[in-house]
Amino acid sequence: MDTLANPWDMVKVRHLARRLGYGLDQAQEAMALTQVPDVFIENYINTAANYALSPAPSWAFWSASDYTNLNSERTAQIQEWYTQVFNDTVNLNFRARMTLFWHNHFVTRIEDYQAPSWMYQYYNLLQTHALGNFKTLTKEMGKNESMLVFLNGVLNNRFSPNENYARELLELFTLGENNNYTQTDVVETARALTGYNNFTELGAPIAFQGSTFDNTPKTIFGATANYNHDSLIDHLFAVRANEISDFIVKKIYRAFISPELPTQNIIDQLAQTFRNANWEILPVVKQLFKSEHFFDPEARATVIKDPLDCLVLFIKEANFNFPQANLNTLFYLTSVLGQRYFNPIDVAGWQGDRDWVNSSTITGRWQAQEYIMWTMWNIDQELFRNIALDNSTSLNDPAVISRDIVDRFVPRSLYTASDYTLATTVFKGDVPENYYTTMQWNLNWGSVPFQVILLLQHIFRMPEFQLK
Amino acid sequence: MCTSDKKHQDPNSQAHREEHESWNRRTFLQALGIAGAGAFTLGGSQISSAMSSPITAALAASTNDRVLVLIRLKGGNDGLNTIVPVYDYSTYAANRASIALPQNSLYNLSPDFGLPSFMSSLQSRWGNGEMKIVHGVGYQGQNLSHFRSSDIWASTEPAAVEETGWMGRFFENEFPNFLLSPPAVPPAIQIGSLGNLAFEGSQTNYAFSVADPQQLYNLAQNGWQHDALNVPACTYGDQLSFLRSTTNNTFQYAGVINNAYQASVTQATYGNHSIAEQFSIVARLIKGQLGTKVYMVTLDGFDTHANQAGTHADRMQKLSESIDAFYNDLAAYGNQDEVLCMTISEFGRRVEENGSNGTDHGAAAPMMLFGGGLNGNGFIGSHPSMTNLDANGNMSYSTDFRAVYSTVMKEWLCIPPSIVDQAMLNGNFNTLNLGFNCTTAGVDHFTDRDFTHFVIHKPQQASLHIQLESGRKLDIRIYNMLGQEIGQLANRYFLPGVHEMDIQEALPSRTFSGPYIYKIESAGKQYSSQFIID
Repeated sequence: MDTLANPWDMVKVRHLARRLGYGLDQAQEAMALTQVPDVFIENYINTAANYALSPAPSWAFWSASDYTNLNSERTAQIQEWYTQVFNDTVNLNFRARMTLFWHNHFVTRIEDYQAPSWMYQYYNLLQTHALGNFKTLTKEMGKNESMLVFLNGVLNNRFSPNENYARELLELFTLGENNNYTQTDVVETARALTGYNNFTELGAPIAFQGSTFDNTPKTIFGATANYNHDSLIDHLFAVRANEISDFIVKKIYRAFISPELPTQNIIDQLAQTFRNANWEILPVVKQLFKSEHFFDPEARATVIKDPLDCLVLFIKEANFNFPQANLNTLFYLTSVLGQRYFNPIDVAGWQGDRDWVNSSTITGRWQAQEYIMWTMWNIDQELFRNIALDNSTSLNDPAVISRDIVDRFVPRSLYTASDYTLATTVFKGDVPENYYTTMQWNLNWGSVPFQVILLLQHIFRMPEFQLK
Repeated sequence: MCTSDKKHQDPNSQAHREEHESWNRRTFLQALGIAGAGAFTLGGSQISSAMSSPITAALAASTNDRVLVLIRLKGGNDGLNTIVPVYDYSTYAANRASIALPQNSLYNLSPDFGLPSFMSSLQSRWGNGEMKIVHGVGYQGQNLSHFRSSDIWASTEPAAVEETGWMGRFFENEFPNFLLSPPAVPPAIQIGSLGNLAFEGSQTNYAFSVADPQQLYNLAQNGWQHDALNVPACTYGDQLSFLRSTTNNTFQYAGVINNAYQASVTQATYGNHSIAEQFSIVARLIKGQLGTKVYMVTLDGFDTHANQAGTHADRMQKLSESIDAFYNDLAAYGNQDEVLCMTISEFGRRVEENGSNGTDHGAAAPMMLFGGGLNGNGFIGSHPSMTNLDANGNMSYSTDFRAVYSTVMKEWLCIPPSIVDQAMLNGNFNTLNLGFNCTTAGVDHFTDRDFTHFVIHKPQQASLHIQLESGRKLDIRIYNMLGQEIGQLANRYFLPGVHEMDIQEALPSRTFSGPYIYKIESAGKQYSSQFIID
């Protein structure tokens, strides 16, 4: 995509950084521009894939009997882990985004499974395989305690099968709704998945036990064998590879490129890559994010930010060093805005896109962004002057400066040109007009940090600001 | 142009820096994060008890249709070239060799004072008894910074830094449950002057604010702020259209503003410039019976450090013509006596002109009031001496601006004196004879103030502090920032005295740090306030 007609530029860098990660600051963007795009993207993705896993907390494997007061201690542990998750989000860019993507794919809800250790182990599983192998992730997920509790695998035994997980495995996790499976396949799959019933207490491992496993032949997708959990997954990925690759690639496409799917040809190419790579995720995302298609102007500004995007993109792009101690505020704010980490809305996950935004949550977004803004203002007002200094080519032209600041935060130039004039009026604030016309005013004035505040409040309210 | 010369300040001098000191207030309160401005609803639709705010509003109780329009002359208006002191013309002329207005060009308001020819549109207003002038308005210890002095005029606190405004404090008293249940019409509408403190309360800003008249015009004309149809034909355009209409829907006042605007017509000829457009829109909203009691319009360009004559004449002419048109417009509808206009400006200008044919930042200056409700023309107070000046060469004030505010609140808006005094930071200022008074005084609801409530922030703890002079039953609930209830703190009878409650401990689930709202309901009244949990 680095051709004369279609050069590697700041617009593309920001598009990439906002879609794959949570944005870059000015210095990182400048660095990106000095590199060949293929190399930059390759490194960006590899770096994300190689980040160390978040360190295990001391209670990573606690079960109920390790607690003195389960209710109060677990609340504190869950809060502690939220802080870790938001720390990861701020720091692990593409890795964090893919972890969230798979969380919203293989949904579990802590409200249902309740145990901090299971929450940690579930997160660790997602983080481990976020850019690893999808088939491996699927195989591990079916035996994960959070999932066993959430979708009743723990109750699924040979005496009274429970179809819940089997159905979602096919409908939501691999094939997609009504995509080449039958009710019989669901029933038989459920039998293959039995045996993970050895529940001892909350938070403890749920082990496989032969006594409750249905140790008889099952007929799934027309083939008959004595499938167990792992061999069922192998069978599923072998005989339904086209369906799985198509379904997952489309889901990645909608999340990362556009709510509108492209021609099937593009999906087919990526699905082919996915199958050829034996379900490794890296080749797919590298092919996708290095493509002309990803950088096509048609793909820009088409995705509605999720609540995390709303806050973290702003924090990163404003070059704020958001205090560790306030990270759990991000959890509160995103929860109120409809994205409560570890508690997606239902088993199908957040549907995203326009579901994020209504007249209540959009005003909530403004408030949340302002809360972050004022939090940073209370720490250092000069941060706001720096936003202007970092992003503008002018020191004393309010029209140029306000345009540069607007363009720093919106995904493409404002469609209605007069909106820039309005932004300039807002930015001029309460400074008398003559100081602009005589060019006495400049970015070193004492009024500038508050002027940037006024402009940011205005930018938050721009419909364009909700897009990335 | 600020070229250097003997009289003009060195841009690097301490004095000059002080005049452009940091505009950096509002650190704590606004950090609470509830983005106010009454410009949108707090997602309040979830609140089941969102009955219209049962405020015993002093304004509502005053049962009149009086409206106040504040005309902000931004930059510091030169009072001496606005109302010319012909009683001592020689001193005036001697100080202003290049910018003094010729005596024979002035219209005699009285034997002592003249009106410039560029303000001739106001002659008939004066003649008809629809204009008054308050001489020498200012305050003790005039600050020469635009920002600080604008803040002082808005906050009415010349000494300490005060982050709320006189109108904001009043509205806060009027609308104690504004956050969760804002009134059906905006209490105030502000055009321009973004960032001005006048309507700032400790909870929110009570004005519906727009950056310029075009923004208000779009809203008034169309009922929306963003055009949801004019978007490009592509996925981006679809998304933009969706987000524009969603954003439009959040401006709950768009509908009432649009209705009022469409319910009236313009019945006068206005110029084609900003202040004319502002007055024209305000007239239609008033005539369309919007119900908003206070407006602020803004005219920039009064910071006339250089080549003042042309600029000042141009601004004043535009202002004068617009005021004249505004009252013609109102008269055609018949409510010219119900609308009072009042000019405000952060300071006057120096008596002696500078070396750039302009004037530097000054002190005392006249305020002008307009409207049939004034019942006659006239001057209030005494004109300050042009020879007995302060250390900066500026005139001393003879009338405190807060006395004018206070009089207008009490005698024009008919707000009970005790509430006004509270809004004026417990000052008790002289009531001036501006020619109007209240026949329908509002009722002072002392019961509103026999208890106080606020949140005390400590690390890891937020305590609700309540002080009651008499026992009463209180229903106290906590809401998140979208106005969704998250728990009930208490619903019981409280004895007189001081009560303190740990909010987190009282709530069923652990609360995370961030912005929240509490609401207290007592005897059919609701009070809401925001707070943070660290």
